Amino acid sequence: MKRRSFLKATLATGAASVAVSAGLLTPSTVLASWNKEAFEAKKMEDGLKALLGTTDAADSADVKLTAPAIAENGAVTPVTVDASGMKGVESIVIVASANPTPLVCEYKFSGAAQGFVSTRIRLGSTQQVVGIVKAGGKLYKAQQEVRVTIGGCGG
Amino acid sequence: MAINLRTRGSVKGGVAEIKSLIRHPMESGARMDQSTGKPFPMKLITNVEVTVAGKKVVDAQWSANVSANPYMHVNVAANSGDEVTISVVDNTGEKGSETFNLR
Repeated sequence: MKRRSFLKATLATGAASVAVSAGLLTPSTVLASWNKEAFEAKKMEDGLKALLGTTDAADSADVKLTAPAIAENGAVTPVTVDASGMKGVESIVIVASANPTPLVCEYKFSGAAQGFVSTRIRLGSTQQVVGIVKAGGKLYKAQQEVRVTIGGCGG
Repeated sequence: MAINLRTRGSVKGGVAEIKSLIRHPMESGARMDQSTGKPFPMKLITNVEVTVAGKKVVDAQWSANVSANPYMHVNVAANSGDEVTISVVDNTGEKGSETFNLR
């Protein structure tokens, strides 16, 4: 009897581990697509390297960054990055250079989407806001200083 | 509890302006609760997807620098009547999605 129960137990655990390795039981597959290293990086350069592989971006007049010169409330700063004039825009990244974790968001475009994003971001202090556009495998950027009178990070 | 979204989309000259307002605290996990001295637990929307007429067109990742109750505006070449789906998921696994037809 002992031998029989031992066999049963090993067979059961064996089946479970096979299921895990075969990908039938994948824990948190959704979150796996979040680039934690990039978005929790403390420096802009580290974050960009983790996200895009490089920090080299050329200034371009085709990237239009719209942000207020003075943000009264840093917790809700409207920022628009418009690269509709460019062809083959693959993604847009917004960076708040002096925030505790500078990377704000990454938008990847495919199909019929245009290179345009408008959103509201948090700014901890007066700083440069950078819009980075990846088009045709190259990086282009535009930046603007935003003066913040009340910071939006922390209490 | 699903995440609450409110999205509008209208087509002008072949381009759909898709504007979405999402009700979410976007808590970074670093902000301190003054009364207890402990940080508020992290609760962030990490991934956002937009599909138009069955095709994924926008795939976004967000960090804690996106404001609470996020607003997002993207433009997609589309025709009126196309079905648009916005879906979001946060780091706790909570999801939300909205599907509508473009005007």
